[in-house]
Amino acid sequence: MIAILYFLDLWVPLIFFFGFSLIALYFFGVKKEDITFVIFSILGMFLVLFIFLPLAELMIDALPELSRAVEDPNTINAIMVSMTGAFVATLIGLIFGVPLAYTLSRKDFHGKNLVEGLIDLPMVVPHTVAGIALLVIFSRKGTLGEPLSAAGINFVDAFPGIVVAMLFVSIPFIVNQVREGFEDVDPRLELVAMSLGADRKKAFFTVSLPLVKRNLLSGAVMGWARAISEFGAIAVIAFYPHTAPVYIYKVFTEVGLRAAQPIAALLLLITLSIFIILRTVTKGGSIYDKD
Amino acid sequence: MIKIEDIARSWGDFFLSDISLNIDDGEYFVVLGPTGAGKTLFLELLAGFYEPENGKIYKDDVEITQLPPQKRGFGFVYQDYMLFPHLNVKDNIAYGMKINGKSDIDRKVDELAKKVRVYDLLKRKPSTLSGGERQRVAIARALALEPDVLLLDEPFGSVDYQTGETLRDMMIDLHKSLRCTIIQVTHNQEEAVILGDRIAVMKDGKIKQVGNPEDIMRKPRSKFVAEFVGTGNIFHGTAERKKDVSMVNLGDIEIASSHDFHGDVTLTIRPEDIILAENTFESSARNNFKGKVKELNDRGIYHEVVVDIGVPLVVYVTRQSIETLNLKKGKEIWTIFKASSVHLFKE
Repeated sequence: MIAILYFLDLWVPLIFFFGFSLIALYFFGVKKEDITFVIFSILGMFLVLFIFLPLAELMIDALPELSRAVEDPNTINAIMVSMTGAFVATLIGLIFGVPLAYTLSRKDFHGKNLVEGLIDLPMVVPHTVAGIALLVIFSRKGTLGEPLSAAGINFVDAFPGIVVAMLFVSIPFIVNQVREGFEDVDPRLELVAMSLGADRKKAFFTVSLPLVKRNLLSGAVMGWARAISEFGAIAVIAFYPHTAPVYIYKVFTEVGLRAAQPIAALLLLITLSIFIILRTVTKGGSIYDKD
Repeated sequence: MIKIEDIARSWGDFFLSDISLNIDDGEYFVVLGPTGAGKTLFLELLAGFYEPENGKIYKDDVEITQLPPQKRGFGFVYQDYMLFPHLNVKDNIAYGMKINGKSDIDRKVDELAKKVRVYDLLKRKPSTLSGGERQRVAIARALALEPDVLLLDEPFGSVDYQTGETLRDMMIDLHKSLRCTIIQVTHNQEEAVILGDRIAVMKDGKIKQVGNPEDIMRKPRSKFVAEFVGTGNIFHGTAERKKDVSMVNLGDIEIASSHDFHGDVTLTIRPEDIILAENTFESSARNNFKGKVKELNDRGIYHEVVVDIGVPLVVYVTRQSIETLNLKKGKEIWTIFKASSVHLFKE
């Protein structure tokens, strides 16, 4: 119902415009047997527009005020915290995730299903629940938090807290992407490498790892993007220093929609550009020629 | 010399067991068997990719059963090449030399590439090569470290017949010039006979018979081997020793064999060892039977004639013979074959 109300307004003509132009495009050179695809495309287009329109409207509305957001040091700070946090989380995710992904792709063991389930879990756990769970274990009295705070690393309302929250939610994206890559590498390539004098480690670094370059990149991009977008878990464990989503939420609740909009638009602009650039890099032209 | 003692290993419900073989230095040894016989697994055990659960493997009297593949120094070539897709042809061939820190790599790669005729392809990625070219590169890569032992897994199995023939001839030349031991597995009996100094026939993870090509083709010791190498004409009967020959009673007829057997036996005669003639003539052949032509089948380069002599006897003849003898269904004809061509075994 809300969706229907949302679409009425000035968007109705826009939808019709897109819809009809698409239909026209299809009917110009379309064969009878493609009619199913025409119908499917129209249906699918609604979803695509559902993503595109709100974001586009946000950008268009906020564009004149974008400079105000850029000039606000708090905004820039928050975006920087988000960027570096996501970068560190992705890096940690790769360092521990690649060995995990490789092992899962090569070995069967008791409890493998359980491990696989655990890896996917962050995708279904509500973000606030994840945040509370992390807070329990990483607080100054927590099982991990206590020894680490003795070593000078604090998580509550601190940068490391942001990193663990981001890491928690991005793990499934990193591990599953990389694992998919390793599964496509024939284990016999490693065996041949070993027959040529490489031990397992060398075979891994000279054959398997270069062959999953593309998956490493796309896993990192998706993990990074997921980390940037996290709000709930971060808000629970580390409201300070503000990440961009937390700062936007704070401005929205304390000042209002008009004030939050340009900051949101700026964050959208920056993440979107980085996302598009990285997607093109990882998708454009295969890094290795597949057989 | 490679000595294999009673090795065994299971993969789920498939077993490789009781395999004992001695393979001489410089020998071209072929393991022949149908799909699913365990040939590739056997080769992978030899390479050290897997460890046997039982038994021992020796190379030059040194036990290597537990030695990892990188220390065995055996070259390995898979049927589907397994070239490193991210490396070009040159780097594929150079891989082993680089890993082992060899010097003078460029010159050696060029030399090898010329030898297997892929010199023009050195800059290309594997995905741009044809099957035959890929297999040449895979062979060059395996030879780069000058292994004493080369393991080939159906090396001509993924290419068309013509390319396979060319590769086969190249392997014969390489074997002559390199003098390394080659152990090759194949399901193709023609390939086995042409290449092998000796052949081991494998079925269900077990070696059924080892011998030179002549032995395998003409003196199978089991029905499986006889059928697999296409010996044809497999009959059961009772043998009785009479003077210098064994007479095998097949019910309606008695066939003479120079093999010394008594009691229940299986008998085989290769179809190309039988002569067809209008009249019987004096010869050293001990077996002359008159029969009626039951079937005539065109097999491309030869014809298969089935003559009923009490048992259906399959005979291979040339097109020329069909015309000369005016063979057609129902015609009466003599079949003539030597007692020494009649092979007997117990099963």
